Amino acid sequence: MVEVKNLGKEFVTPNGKITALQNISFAVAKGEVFGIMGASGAGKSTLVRCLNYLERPTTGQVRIAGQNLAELSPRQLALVRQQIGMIFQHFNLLKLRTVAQNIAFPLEIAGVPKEETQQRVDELLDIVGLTDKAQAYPHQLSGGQKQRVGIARALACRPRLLLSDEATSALDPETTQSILTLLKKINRNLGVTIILITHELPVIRQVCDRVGVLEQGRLVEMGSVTDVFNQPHAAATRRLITTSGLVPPTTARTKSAVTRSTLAAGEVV
Amino acid sequence: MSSLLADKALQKLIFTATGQTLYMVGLSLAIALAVGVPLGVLLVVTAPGHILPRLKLNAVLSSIVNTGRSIPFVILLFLLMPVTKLLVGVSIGTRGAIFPLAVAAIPFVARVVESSLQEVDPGVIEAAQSMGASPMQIIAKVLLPESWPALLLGFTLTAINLVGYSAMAGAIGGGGLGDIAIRYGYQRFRNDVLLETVVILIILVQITQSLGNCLALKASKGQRRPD
Ligand SMILES: Nc1ncnc2c1ncn2[C@@H]1O[C@H](COP(=O)(O)OP(=O)(O)O)[C@@H](O)[C@H]1O
Ligand SMILES: [Mg+2]
Repeated sequence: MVEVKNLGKEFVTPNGKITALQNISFAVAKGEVFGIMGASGAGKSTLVRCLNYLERPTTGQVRIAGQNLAELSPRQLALVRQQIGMIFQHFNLLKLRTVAQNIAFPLEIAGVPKEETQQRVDELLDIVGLTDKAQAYPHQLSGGQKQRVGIARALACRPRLLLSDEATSALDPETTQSILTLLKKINRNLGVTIILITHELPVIRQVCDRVGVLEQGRLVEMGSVTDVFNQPHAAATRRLITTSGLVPPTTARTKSAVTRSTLAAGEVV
Repeated sequence: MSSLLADKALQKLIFTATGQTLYMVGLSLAIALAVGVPLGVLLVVTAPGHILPRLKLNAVLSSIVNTGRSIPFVILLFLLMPVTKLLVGVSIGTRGAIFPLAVAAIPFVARVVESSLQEVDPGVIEAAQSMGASPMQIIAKVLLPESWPALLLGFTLTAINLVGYSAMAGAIGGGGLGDIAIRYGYQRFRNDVLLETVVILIILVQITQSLGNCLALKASKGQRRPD
């Protein structure tokens, strides 16, 4: 579904070059939920924006469903983007459009006829459980409801891939749970591949199949969520796990077990 | 001192002059919007980091707009006289005033549009781009609609400025209320006429402002601040 090869990104700023990403390679299979975790400033947002070429990589390749994005014309790129849904930390809804009109927005852009749009919007409102809020404006909604609108909008064009950049980071724990459940449901029932980026480790552990760890623009570790959380190899991963207060589940019972695990992890590097 | 109400001929003149003022303001506003809105949009989207960055074009447009804004209106009136004459056949009178009024308002409208569009959340623009929206679609479906309440307030301000400018144009033979105020009120010592034109101007401005506020509030869809 997604193939990233030797991806690098440099920003040229008045104060010199910033290397945001360096030599990133990974692949995400169809139907997978792939997580990317990292501290703030690690390059997560830049990476996810490279996946739909909102940010053009400086080096390397991004392939979506086999298509190398670098080779596409603007028009073709627009078509590929219509097949990739994206959700955001701050929802990014149009504030002067109703919920229904927000969800209809990508369909309008894709030139879907009015009647079909209406039907699709009703379906989506049902999927995210907001049928009764169809005529509300974003400022009348809670954070969780806004993110549901964001998700419905991202699904409007029946994408095969969903990109999520810190989608739950502005939400309280309870709302986060309901959004994660919804994402899981979308992955299972609609077969949508999800790439989820967050600094919140519990989110990754709860919904992802595999995870990559980003530190200072480098992918320092990658593997199944169980492996990475139980036997973190990279120092950066261990630091993330420690600072987030998570303890590997297998070692959570006794204090001595925690010590052992830490030592074991230490031996690897 | 002659009674104001008895002075029927003069009342008719004032009535006509009010119509002329409305005509000058309305038409020059329409022209200024037709040119100023696209100009303002271009100023925004060609800026560095926006959806169609064209740095040279942006710098050129920006300096044209700044030049336009820095010329005082009275001077612009005289500067433009030959051009006005060429374009509309006359350089004075109500019709002659419309062109300089429009020219004066264009850079103002452009800056109003620029500052309103800059307020649109970059995240929303990014969301539209992630859906495959073209720059034209982003302008038509995101930038302009999302800043509509702010634009309405800015256009209201433009209209009010034009009422003031039109009175100035009137002073040099442009017709309208300013013309009446100068010729009858000031030069013939008719303080009542002077007062009446001022009252009419105040009412025009009040109505325009109230209408603008009302439309902007409605357009903001119940958000707390109609930004
Ligand atoms: N448009 C940009 N211009 C310059 N530097 C940028 C830009 N976007 C991101 N960066 C830099 O790239 C690095 C990674 O940022 P980001 O991808 O936002 O990290 P994260 O999402 O993991 O917090 C940071 O050092 C940031 O300052
Ligand atoms: Mg980020």
